[in-house]
Amino acid sequence: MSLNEKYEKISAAYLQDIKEAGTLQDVEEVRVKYIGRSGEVNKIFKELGILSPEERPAWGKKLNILKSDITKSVEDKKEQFSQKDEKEDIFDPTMPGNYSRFPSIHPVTGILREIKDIFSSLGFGVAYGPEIESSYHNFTALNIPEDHVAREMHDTFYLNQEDKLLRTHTSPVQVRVMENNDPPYNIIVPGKCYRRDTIDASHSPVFHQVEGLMVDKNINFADLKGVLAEFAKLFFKGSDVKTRFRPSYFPFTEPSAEMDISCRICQGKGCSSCSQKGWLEILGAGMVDPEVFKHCNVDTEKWQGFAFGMGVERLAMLKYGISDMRFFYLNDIRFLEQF
Amino acid sequence: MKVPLKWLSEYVDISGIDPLELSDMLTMRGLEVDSVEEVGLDTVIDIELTPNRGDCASLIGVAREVSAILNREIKLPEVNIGSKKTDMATKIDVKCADKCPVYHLRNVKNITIGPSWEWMKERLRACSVRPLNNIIDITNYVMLETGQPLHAFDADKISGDTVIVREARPGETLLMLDGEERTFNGGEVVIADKNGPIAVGGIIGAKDSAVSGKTTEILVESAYFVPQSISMAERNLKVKTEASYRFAREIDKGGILYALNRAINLMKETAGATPVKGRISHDSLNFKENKIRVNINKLNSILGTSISKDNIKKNLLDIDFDIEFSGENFEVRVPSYRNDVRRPVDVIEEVARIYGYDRIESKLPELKVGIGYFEPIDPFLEGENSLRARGYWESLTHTLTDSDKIVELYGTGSEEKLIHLKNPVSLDMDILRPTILPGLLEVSSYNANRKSRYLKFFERGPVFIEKDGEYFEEHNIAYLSAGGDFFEAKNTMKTMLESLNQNYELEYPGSSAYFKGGRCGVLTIEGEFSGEFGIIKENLCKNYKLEDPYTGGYLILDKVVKEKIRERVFKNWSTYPAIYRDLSLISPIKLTHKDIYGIIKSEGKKELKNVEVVDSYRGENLGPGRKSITYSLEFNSDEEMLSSEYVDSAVKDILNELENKLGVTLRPK
Ligand SMILES: [Zn+2]
Repeated sequence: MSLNEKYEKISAAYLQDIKEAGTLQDVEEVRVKYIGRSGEVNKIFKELGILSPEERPAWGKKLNILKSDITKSVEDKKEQFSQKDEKEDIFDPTMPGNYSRFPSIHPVTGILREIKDIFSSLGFGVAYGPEIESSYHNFTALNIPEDHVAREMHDTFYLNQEDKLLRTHTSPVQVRVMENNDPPYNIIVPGKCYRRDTIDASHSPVFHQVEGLMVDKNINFADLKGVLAEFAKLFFKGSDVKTRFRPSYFPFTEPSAEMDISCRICQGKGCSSCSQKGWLEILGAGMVDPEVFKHCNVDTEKWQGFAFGMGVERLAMLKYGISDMRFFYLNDIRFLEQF
Repeated sequence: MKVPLKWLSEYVDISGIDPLELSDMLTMRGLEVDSVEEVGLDTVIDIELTPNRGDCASLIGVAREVSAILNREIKLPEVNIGSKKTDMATKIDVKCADKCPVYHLRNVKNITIGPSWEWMKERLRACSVRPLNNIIDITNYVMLETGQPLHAFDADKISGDTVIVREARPGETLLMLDGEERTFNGGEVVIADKNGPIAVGGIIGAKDSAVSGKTTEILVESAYFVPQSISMAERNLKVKTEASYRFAREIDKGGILYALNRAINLMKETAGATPVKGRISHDSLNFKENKIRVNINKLNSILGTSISKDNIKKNLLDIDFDIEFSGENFEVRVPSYRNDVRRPVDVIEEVARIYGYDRIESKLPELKVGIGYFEPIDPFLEGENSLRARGYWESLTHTLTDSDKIVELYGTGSEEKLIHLKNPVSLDMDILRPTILPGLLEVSSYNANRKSRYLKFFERGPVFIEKDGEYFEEHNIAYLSAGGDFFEAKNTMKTMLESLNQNYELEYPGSSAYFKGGRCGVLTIEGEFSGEFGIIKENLCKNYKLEDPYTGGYLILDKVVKEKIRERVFKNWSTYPAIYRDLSLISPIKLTHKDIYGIIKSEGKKELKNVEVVDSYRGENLGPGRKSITYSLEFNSDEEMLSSEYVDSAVKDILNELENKLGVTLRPK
């Protein structure tokens, strides 16, 4: 047999032998047979003398690789046996180990972050304002005069100090931003609001709103539609989300609108989730009323724009399918760990 | 506003239109239909009216909208306005024309009170109005039809010959139709005779002057009460009626007489009733229809449209606004029933409404870089994340809370006062929270009762306090852990402060409002009080039915130096190997780690890079009143390799100082 033939024969044979080895003892025999001091591989090494000095290094390398291949196969096989043998100390990788869940954030916080992210990608900044407000900022400056029907719609908590109340919406922050800064404005205002409602499935005396304001030289109703429809698409993650705008009324906007999205449960056909309407109301909006600009000393000849407001709990309920507003404030761990 | 469709079809032809389709059309015109229901043989749609559309609190008002949508004619009942000359003997005296500028009365005799027509009763019921008798039913029917509330007095129960419209005097009382006696604040409009009030103007009549089964002669009132005055009276007297609902939204100032005569015409048809010729009136309003000038370019600029003159004209004519163009402007004459259209922008809304919001093509504005007055990101996020990393779950509790459970923390001597609500909705939510901790105790208690495993919570939000007569609102982040020890509270605070990159000091004052004496810490940032932590007071826990030790703390986010949060300066480290020396010290038991650490740090040369506690223990072998703490000291230099001799002499200096100043010595080996 030529060197080459011997080499090929060993290469095939050792694999077969290892495969057939049934005990640790067998494997050890295979090792000795091939790579022991007088094993098959070393036998070929000894025959390398017949080769020319030019050929020798290449063969040396080839044989060393074979030797290390065999060593590896032997060790792998041995490992299988040792694992089978140590029955008393079986390692169980399916055990949980030192695990604890990474705590979640509250769904209202999560929704607020999503809303902030979307609007910041649309160029909006974030502004904040006080929750204890003056009735001027909460009502008068927003064109809700005293003894006007619109004020009655805000069931308000009052404090003992004259003229102080808990804001009924985040809109007063709009006023504060406009009072203290020159246009253009491009902000959203997230925050808590208060209405004198008893707690039930759809009411809570404390709730969250996000207000928005976009004012520049030429911002118009078409922009309002575009920005808010874009928000709905991004928020509900689907270009198949249809939006529609209906005329409505808010004292601080004119024209005013409400935006509905197509019911995602019935695809607009009408079901119990959407009171058979096929649409779900998600926010109110409109062009900032000139009266509001006047109160904030913004020149209506130069500036125009829109404002909008949405209820965060309502959006969370729609997005996650939460059926009862009370869940948000119970903080039941079985609720929290779902978010 | 409930609208029975058969009744509606008396004013406008709705044949061939499905009720659902009609509802959709109305909804898209701003009259949102809430429900469509079969009532008897009719279909009733319920419209949720916005406060500006008082005109649609009537069948005719809704019919006008439907007529505009369907482009079908409106048919109104013919009404004979009658003569101004009158045979009436009654006089009227309006003393508060600013609150009641228009007041008409007509007189009907020979009345036989009885039930009204079946068809009328049916329609009233469909609108959720209870039929009573022929006279009252007619006044209610005409109110639903025209939007103008009417009131009928029993003429025999009015003393004297003059009906007076005046402001109520403070303290005056009246037994009202609903059986309640109410006291006036003063300033509410009342209708009175010489003996006193016989009705609250525009809101509710008196029991005594009401039409009853024995009534034979009546005075029928049709008037205009100013909305603000009505809202004020509703609020003062805590009463709302179908009438006040309409007056508060303002009635059609051009339709006051029409409604009155419409009612009289209907009464004439009931057995035997004879209207007295003419009426008596007060009218100081001199009502004229509004004329408003609008610029076409402004209209299109606000809407983002290019609606043509012709189109504008068509849309406005559809809703009976007369329109005349002059150049780039147009002037509209607003019908009397549209009180809500007063300014150019109101006309613009009407054009958009009739044109259709859905036809305005949406677009995205050019993006501008934001302006620097807002906070672009949440600067405190890292603080929140550090709490979550330690196993705290975010919760969200009401900022309104129960004063009973925390009032004891705020003694009468305290300069900080709780902020009470003037009109709480329930007693367990009567104050604004002065701290978040009770909310977290509540959450823990709720979950502990349900045997939950996770009992670490945090919350971020405002807290409120009154100080020196002023209200303060502060933003806090608070955390609470069931079990754990003082160091859980302390180290949670430390990791949070470090995640926010703050320079802070911790002190241990011995007492606190929320935390146990001797188990509380205070933190300061830039020398200012910025929060507390420790083991929650037992009695506070008990108020929330919690027994185990609870630990927690709060950080006042307003005190966090925002500029520092992301500030970092890179410093290179020494390339030479450090030399370590462990010192096992024996110290009097009263000394604190802080005392010893302070001496080591101040005495150590600049090569002393780090000092750590590696062990501490107490044992009898140390002698009475002694404890042992082992410190590991790390020495290194940026400039050279330190020698053992150098480090040993530095350690010797530290040990000398510890012994001289504190009596702390090296523990014998
Ligand atoms: Zn649906």
